[in-house]
Amino acid sequence: MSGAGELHLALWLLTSGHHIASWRHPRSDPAALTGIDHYVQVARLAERGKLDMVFFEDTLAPRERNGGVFGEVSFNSLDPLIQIAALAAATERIGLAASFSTTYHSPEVLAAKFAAIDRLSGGRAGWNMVTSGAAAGRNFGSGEHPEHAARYANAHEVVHAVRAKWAAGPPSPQGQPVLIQAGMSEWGLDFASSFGEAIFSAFGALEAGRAFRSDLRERAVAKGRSAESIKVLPGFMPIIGSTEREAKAKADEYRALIHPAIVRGMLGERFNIDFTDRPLDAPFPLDEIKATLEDRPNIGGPRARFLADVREGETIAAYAERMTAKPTGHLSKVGSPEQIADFMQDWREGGGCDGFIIQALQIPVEFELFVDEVIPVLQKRGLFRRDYAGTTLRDHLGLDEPV
Amino acid sequence: MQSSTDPGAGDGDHAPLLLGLALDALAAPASSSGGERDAYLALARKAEAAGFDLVLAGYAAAPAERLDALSLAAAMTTATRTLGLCAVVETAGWAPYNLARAFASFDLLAGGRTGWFAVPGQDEPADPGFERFAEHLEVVFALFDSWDDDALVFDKAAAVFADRDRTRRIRHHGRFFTVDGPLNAPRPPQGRPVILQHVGDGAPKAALADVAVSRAATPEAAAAARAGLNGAPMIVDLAVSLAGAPLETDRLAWRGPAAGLVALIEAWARSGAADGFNILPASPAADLEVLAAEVLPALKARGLMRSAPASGDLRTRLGLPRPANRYAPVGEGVPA
Repeated sequence: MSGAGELHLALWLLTSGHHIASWRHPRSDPAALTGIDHYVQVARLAERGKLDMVFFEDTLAPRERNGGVFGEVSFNSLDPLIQIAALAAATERIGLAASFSTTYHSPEVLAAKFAAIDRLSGGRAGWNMVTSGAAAGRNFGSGEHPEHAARYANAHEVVHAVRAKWAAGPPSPQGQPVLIQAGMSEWGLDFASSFGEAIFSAFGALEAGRAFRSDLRERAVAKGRSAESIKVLPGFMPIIGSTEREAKAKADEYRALIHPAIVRGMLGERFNIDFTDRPLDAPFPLDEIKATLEDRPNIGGPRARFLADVREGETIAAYAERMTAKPTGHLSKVGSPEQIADFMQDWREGGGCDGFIIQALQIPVEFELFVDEVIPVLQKRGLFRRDYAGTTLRDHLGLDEPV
Repeated sequence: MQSSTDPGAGDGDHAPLLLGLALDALAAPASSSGGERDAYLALARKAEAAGFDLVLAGYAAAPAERLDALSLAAAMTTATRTLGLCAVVETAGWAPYNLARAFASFDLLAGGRTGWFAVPGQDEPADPGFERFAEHLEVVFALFDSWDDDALVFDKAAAVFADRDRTRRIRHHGRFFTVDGPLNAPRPPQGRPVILQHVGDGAPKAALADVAVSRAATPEAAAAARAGLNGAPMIVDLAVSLAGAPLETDRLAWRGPAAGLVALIEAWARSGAADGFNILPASPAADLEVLAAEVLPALKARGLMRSAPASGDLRTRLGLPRPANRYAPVGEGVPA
């Protein structure tokens, strides 16, 4: 169903958008985020843009800072399977995908839910298979959080069990839901090349993206699959203006929405010490944070990575300046619609991807701009479909039914 | 349940009946040309227009053919506006945290119209006293209360999306579950979805139920089931076949013309044996045609149904109290 060189596009439908302060934008309506109308409007917009799918993430705890809810930012996605079930009845063609954890959902519940949504949507469901990290463990029992190896072994078992249940039930119009995976560790590569059909990746440079995709395709072939049976979709945040200058001004406008209270919250979330009342011109409290890491070795991973980025002797404000300057998207491009399209074309033709999962700066306004301004450019260049050729998510992604 | 002074009460001297329609209990609706989804959507729309209070997904269908109940109920969200959307969900197989999140999300997205028919699950022989089941519900309810009703403030100027001081950990350390919280979803608009539970032999105590559901086939058995309740309204399963489909069931049942069903419902209602019925159609689409065209209009004419169109959330519609937040100071966060 998809021509060579054609892009596959998904929308990561995250509440009011991927910019951390997008909810504060004058055109955002945070009160709408608890109602179904917002999500229906956005999914129909994605359908109008002929995207392959919309995608919702799964979380097993709220975003927190310093022992409580990180109240300066939007809540996480609501239950993703309630959302895609509701959207199955409110849309006709767009694929509907969601993460759901293999760590804390039983295979029975997982299989039944995705099978139902696949049937109700006429074969448009996709499951992003995720394992869950330690932060969620305290909401799910009394024992220690499973170690990586055990978690991953469990994930293999769960996926096998879920697929067996699907195979035993009534088939959907696309055979089975599409299996999606994200994660780039050695385990993730093995898992993705075994089961994954659409892969969300996060690379900043084309060369690294190309190496990842080639590696993944080779591994899939070594496992008896075709190279085309696996589609790599890096996360991508386009910041769109009618000119490059206008787009840059927009990037600045959004950055200005990152209120000092949000900056302090982000620091608290990253480093688990309270920044609420610290003067931002004080030296960055490197030693204080290092001491808390030694207390809790299990949670040092990402925190240690963030710490490595702190420069000797700098102030909190100087660190925060660099922290907030980094785009939230895995890839990002600031420019005119043509420049955004050039960037996407370069990645596709350079072998770095099969398409993108769009991390819109703000939803719906900035996503609508992408649909109305960038997609027509891609269509003119023959890089994106002008209409759906099939009815199922597999049709859109150019995937065969599972054997 | 409702007093006759309620604005939505029936015209007669009888409180309006609570009427539910099981979407997929004895049989799933036959697929129309639009497929399985559209057959269910048509059913829900028709049930809403006819005046049913709620539809119920996942009740007693054969497991192999069953669509996941919560997904089916959620799919009805945009096709309906005032209808209650209820799902049978077994606690077995679910972590309380995930179930709380699913129902909080559903109640938010559906504007406070949801209900949870809570059952322990057939795969749980290891819980003969239903202690795990009871603790599961307790944790789910506590998680709903981990956010205050007014925790979302959306103050753009001060950069406060949610007031973290109006959220809290529940720190539950029970026999079966350890859950810290808070939930990753705000408090449901109804405070808690309407809780439906079986009452009678083999069912857990329905102490936490907002609506009890009896499988009694006689008024005497229904009266015995009601005796154990704390004043919650009780509805009775009623299998119907109004368009000739065969009907085999151990429940209260009617097979025949509409007039006989109206007479049966009226007799049960006037005797006080039931506050309403959970209608299980043998042939959903065909039976609903007759229910909508003949049975519900006749009940309305007899003052047994609400005459005013429904508004507000499902609790309001059913005359049920809104649960106070267990963590809120007395007199705060609890609407009058």
